[in-house]
Amino acid sequence: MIPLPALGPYQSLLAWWQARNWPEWILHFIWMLLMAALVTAFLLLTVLILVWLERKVSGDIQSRVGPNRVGGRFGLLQTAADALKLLMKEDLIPAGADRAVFLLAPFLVFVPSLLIYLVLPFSDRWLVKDLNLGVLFVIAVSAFPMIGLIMAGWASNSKYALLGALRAAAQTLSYEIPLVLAVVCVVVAAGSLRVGDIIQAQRGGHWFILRFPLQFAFLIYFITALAEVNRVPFDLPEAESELVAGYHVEYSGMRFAFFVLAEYAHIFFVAAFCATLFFGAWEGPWLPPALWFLIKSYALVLAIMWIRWTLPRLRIDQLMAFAWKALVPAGLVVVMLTAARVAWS
Amino acid sequence: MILQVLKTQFGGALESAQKVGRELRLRVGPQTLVSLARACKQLGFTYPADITAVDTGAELRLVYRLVSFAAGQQIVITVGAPRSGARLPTLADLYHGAEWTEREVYDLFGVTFDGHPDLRRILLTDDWEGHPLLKSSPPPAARAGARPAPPPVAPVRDLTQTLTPTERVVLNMGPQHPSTHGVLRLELTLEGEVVVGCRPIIGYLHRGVEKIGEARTYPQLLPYTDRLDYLSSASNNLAYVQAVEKLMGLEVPERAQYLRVILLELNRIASHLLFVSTFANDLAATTVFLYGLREREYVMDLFELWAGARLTQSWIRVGGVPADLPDGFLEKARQFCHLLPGRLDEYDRLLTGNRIFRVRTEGIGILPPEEAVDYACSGPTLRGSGVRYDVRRAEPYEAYPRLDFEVVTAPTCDCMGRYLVRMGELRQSLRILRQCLDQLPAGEVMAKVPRLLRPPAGEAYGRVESPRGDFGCFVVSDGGPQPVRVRFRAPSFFHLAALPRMLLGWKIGDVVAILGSIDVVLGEVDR
Repeated sequence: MIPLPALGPYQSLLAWWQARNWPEWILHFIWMLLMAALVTAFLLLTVLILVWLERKVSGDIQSRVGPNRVGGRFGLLQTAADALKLLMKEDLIPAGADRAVFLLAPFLVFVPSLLIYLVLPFSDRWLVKDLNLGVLFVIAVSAFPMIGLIMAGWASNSKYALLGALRAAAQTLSYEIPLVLAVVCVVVAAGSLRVGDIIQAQRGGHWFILRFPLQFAFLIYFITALAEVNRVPFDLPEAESELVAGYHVEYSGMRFAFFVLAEYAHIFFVAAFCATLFFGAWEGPWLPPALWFLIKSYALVLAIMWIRWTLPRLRIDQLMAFAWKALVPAGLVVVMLTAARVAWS
Repeated sequence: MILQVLKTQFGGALESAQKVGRELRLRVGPQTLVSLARACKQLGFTYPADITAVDTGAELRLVYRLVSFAAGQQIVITVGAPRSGARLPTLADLYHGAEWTEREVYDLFGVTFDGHPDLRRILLTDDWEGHPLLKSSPPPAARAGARPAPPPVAPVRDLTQTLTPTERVVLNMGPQHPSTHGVLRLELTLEGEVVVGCRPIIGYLHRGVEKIGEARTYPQLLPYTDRLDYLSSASNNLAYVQAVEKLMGLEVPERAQYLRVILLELNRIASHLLFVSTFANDLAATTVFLYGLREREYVMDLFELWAGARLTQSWIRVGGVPADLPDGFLEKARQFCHLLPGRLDEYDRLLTGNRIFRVRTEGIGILPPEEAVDYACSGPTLRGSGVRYDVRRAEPYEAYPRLDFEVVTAPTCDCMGRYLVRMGELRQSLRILRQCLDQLPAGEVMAKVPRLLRPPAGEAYGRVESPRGDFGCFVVSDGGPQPVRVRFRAPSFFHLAALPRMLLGWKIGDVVAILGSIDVVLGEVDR
């Protein structure tokens, strides 16, 4: 196993630091703070771009223009203007709400969406922390926002929010299982839970998407990822035409913005993670690896948006039936096929 | 024939009996009403088109209108009653469709129906005093400001403290909800996601058009009718104008008849396009929503070109249409006829064949044909249950007898059926439109109509197939310049009454689909 050279700059800095006989933990602390700031900045920028992109893409699909006033004729600053507006809005807390829980919920949704970016390999030299159990970490942490959603729905003291939260809980729980099964296929094929090893196993164009039966794992991962991020056809927790806005119906201003932030952060993450698991992460010819990583991620993000603006929504029982009766058995079969293939070769 | 049967059966109990056009007008005493209605039902008059009342100043006349699809006839039963404290037996156990109409008569006229399962106010608030459609009740303007202060708002119930895991939840869907298509409130009782109770609450948009109508001259009332079913103003116009023209015995020039059909079918296309849009939107297919509106825009432009207005055209007047087609209209209309079929195919590809769309609509919200008739459902809601009944064919008006089109039905009785009927009707409307554009005769567009409309005393009923169904207008005249009574029979009102029947046992997501599939317009429900 060759470790990912992500900590390259850190190593040379460390040598310089140790030559001065300064304790290493201080450098480590500063370094980590810097990383956190960078990841947060990247995430905020990505969300800004994604929201704008979604509006433009939906506009294009629906034969209209989309934002075209703020920030030039492509409306590039529209999202920034909206964020500013949300900042200035009144922070409403409904009567009868469970104050502490209501106030806490948006952050509990947002923070895990930020945390999972720690293991995202942006390029061959750029990965915040290549954890031993990187994939497990992603699965564990990305299930965390569900608690925030339930808290939000429950604390709002609104029936629509409560229904949305219950749907979110049921849906996230059910789709977590096929998601894990799909990821397990990749883990089996790569023989490691470390993100670096998974990328290493795909080096030289041997992307997992090209390897039977991981195509099916990709399909399952992609479908469940749509459900994980509550996108059409699985957007039941916030189903606008049924539950008005679902769990965040009572939120306004910045607290509402945190839900949107978390949602889009999560969307980019599932796309980027999908690129990592199945499309060789940053690997590609000619262009710099970081660019390849962004290209692959954004292509998958566009696919997610395309689906969002094309399909209708399932009903809650159909959604559950699809997870348990179709995706879970299919996932089990693919895991077995993958294991068989690995065992044979 | 039917008259003979009824005469032999009831003999002296019939105070009067005459045949006027398609109507058999019977007058009986309150004691014979139920047995007469039962006999009519056995004779095939299974569709309770309308129940209403007229305050003539001397007495209250209740008017029951029953329709037989097979015979193509209407029976109009008139029952006299005292102006205050009237009590009559209910027909709600005979006809489901009578339940809400009797509630309305109770609300607006104060007639008590003995044996009615749920006699409450329906259009007005519970704290309203008096019954506005009685002549003794002051007109709406005089009442402004006379309302008592609203009761204090009940304290917010803390769900987090009181909700137990097995409790049924009452969820108010509306009046502000993205999918109720207006100010409708559905009081849903839920067990988890399953609907176990539903009570539609209407009246939020009640403007008292029928009361206002009694204080307007005949031409003045016309623009009010546009605002009933605001998605298809021409059919409202026509139902009203038809009644007035019947009273006056007016003959409309042939060209005007064709122009009216063009207007009606364009309205139907616009309305059905909006249906497809909103129905798709209710199921989260947001893109089809915008596609439908894009195509509807062409129709709106045509209206604007011709009538100046895009939505409330008021373009069918007593005697004809006010102006001939403008230059360029025919070409633009032909272009639209050429454009739309391809777009409809696109919707088919996006929706009709889509698996998710199909599992969300097939087998959902079943309304069996007998019950659809019993609830007085009409239009695509009725035809979606496989009943081949269309007022344009059953009681043809204007140029429809000369036009070739099919009555589209679907046998499935579900949301998909109702959707497919409307998609089929879009294509049929285009077919009618093309024929009208080709056959359009030359000539006048307006009959000779007196300056001041004073229809002779009497009553008449205009009946039109609006995009939502059987839209009726009942006009009673005493020979003066203002009607004694105008009554609008709105199809959506009856469809909403049948909604709980379709909803029970389905889930919240289906509520949206089923409500969308009956395509209600609250403007005509609340009047």
